[in-house]
Amino acid sequence: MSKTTSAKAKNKTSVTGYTFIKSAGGVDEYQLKSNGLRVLYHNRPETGVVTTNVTYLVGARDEERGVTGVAHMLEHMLFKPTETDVKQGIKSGKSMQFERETGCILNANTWKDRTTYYFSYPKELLNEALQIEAERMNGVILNDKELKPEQGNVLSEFDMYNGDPHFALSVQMCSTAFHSHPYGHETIGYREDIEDYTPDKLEKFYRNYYRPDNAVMMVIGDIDKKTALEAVRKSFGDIKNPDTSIPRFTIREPKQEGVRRISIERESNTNIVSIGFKHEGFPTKDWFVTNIMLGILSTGPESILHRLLIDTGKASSVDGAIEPTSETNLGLLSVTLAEGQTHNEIESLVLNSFKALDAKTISPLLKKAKAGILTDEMFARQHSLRIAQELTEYVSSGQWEVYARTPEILKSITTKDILDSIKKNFEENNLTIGYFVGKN
Amino acid sequence: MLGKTSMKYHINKSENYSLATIIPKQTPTVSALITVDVHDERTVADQSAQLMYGDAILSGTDKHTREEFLNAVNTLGATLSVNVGSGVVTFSLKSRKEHFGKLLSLFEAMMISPLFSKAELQRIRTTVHNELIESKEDSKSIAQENLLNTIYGFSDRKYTYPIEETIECVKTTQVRHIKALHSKVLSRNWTCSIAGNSTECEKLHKTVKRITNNFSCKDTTSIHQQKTPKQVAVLSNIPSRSNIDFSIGAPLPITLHHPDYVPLSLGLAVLGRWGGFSGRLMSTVRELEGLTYGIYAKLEGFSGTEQGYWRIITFFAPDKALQGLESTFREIKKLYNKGITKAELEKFKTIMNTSQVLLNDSIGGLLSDLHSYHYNGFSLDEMKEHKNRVNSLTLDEVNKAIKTYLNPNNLTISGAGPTKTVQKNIKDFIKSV
Repeated sequence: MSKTTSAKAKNKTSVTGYTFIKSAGGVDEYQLKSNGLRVLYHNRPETGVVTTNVTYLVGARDEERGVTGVAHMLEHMLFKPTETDVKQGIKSGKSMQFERETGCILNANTWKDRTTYYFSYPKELLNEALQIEAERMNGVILNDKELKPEQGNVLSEFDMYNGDPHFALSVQMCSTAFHSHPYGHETIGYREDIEDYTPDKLEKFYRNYYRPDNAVMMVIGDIDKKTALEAVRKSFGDIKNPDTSIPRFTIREPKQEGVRRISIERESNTNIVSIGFKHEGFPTKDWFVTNIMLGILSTGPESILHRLLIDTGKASSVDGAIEPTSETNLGLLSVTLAEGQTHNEIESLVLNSFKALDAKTISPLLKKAKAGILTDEMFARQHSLRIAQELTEYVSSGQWEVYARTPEILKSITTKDILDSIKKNFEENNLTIGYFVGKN
Repeated sequence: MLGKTSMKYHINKSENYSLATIIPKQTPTVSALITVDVHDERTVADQSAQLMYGDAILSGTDKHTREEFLNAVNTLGATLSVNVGSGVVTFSLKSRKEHFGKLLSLFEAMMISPLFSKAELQRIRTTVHNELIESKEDSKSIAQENLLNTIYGFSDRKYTYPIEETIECVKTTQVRHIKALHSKVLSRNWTCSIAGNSTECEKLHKTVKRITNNFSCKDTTSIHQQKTPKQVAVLSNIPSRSNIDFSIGAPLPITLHHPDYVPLSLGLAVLGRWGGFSGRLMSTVRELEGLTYGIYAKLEGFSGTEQGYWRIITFFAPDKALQGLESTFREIKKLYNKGITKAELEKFKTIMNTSQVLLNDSIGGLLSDLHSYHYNGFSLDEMKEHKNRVNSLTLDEVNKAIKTYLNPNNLTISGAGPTKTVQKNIKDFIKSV
């Protein structure tokens, strides 16, 4: 690169108060010099809409026993009033007020590795949205008055999930699969822990993890880069990090020896066999291979298990899912049994069918699965909210730039990769099998 | 607001179809929706055939077996899906633009010469049977269906026949029943909407023209049976669930085109705007009282000529059910007795306008919005007028609509979940409203 070109490139990326980090796939990464907050920017012209999304690198994996679900509970509390709101007489909290007065889209979600808050709004509201996000980064009031009703809501949310046999079974399977790693508990936590939350427990978590150097802000939409970055600096630039370091657990899961099993019995007509397998973290190529492998086995009428179980009347549904977590997690392949089928028989049928799979069967299915996923990606990348949602998973893995390379990774997956993935993932020492047994 | 300036909108009408197009400035993808109303009179046979039609139509043509057909669609990385419900069939086509022509050829083959073989029908009978068994514990759907069965008569499209009766009927549904339903699909007016570049829009237009030109569009009489409101509690005990799902609602004697529709929709949004946190029910029953994770109110079931209903959707733990219902009805009564405030009127005008701006973020969102208006008989000008109507609403208009239509004494409470321990309390409660 010549000196002139280099200077031009520097001018293009240089923004006051920021260090330019990198660009990939139309996304630019900057870091605020004052406090280390990282900012991802992506332009989508002519929509009139901006989505801002802040991801804190903290989730259920950072919780200790007895306070499971606290990351999620805290997420709820960030919609409560901040110290600034109280001074300004805003009882409901400014984020709620913002939604109630402007009609913007606002929400949040917590997962194993991260907690994410987002707004989608007409671009004129950029400064207001960012200011709200900045105020709740460290100013939320955590006391009994605010906590108690929200605790009731989270218990209601827990019951909503737990009433679903698939969810109830997956909770038990995760805790069976992981003896030590915190992925062994669900993000929402255990009901008993939720009932025992106190403001102090939440405060400790909030102070440890909600800080600029543990957050990534995304600005995606119809706004120019300079305006976006200046607005972020204006709202977040003065927030200080605590002097303490961010607590992190490094936990290695003990080796699994043999199949692990769990069953739930409940008054119900539903019967489920769920086959859990430990898969590689996101966004490794292995993760994408496993994801496509799972699609080939269980998604759509052409899939292996649809033909084997749905078309033959042995099951009413088949579902497969893996989560984009940064470390090894439990993927699930679940079969809802038709009347008259037994758990043992379906389990054997499914696992034996995998042993018979060969390149001739997999190759055409792989070609179609890749074509479908690449098309879905094209649709997803035309909507700022969906871009933010997808990019969030890459951010929480610590490798957001892989987002830009995903289509290439998908194209590189071969039939051998899929066959190897089936063999590796469904090997006995990698399995946790769950039965939901309905009792009438 | 009719979308951003870089898009073009157009509606082309003929005797057999109507085509609305959105042409974004630049997009590598194409999405199209085609909706056909096949309702005449709801019967259990009709309901069963509709449950089976979606799978049947995707099960091959005279030139493709099911396997070959699915393979051809999936090789394109495209989506060709069929949704059938309440007498309405919607085909959804999605692909990259370079594959849209091939996808349309497959769609045309599927519509002109579907296979409808006996062997495939036997497979579908089993699949639908198993799905129906699984749906016996779908408390949310059961609560809604039971509510609608108190609002609409047996012959209305929104009536749902009991699962056991439907299971029996599915067993006897034959190829001729599916063929008869398909003939209806071909002989009714098609509402088509597409978002894609002009070449792809033209391809869809030609395909639709070719398919529908083979059939003459028949005038039909569709039965609509809305009942008078009934203050009653309908409860289904599903012990495996943790929460009780509630659908609380009443019929409304107006259509989408009625002058009271827009003021009523704003008034109901103040009570429980769908999604988000801005409704009064979310601020009180959830936020202040902590009784549920979500509680919303909405207008539903409206179409161009048919009257809809209003519904509150929520769930409560069994031990909080009574308190939850009391809080919900307190808010409904407050709205009914006192109406909304001037500040709420202005706030919700802004909210409704913002939701229009946010549609511009996604071509899929714009298409779905346009298709809904298009299907319900709005021209582009009427759609614009309907959307702008919100800006001229007065407080008097909104509160008058609330007083006319949202009487809490007309409401049916439908609950599904672990209701056994609270049945008596809920039945006593509805009598006291």
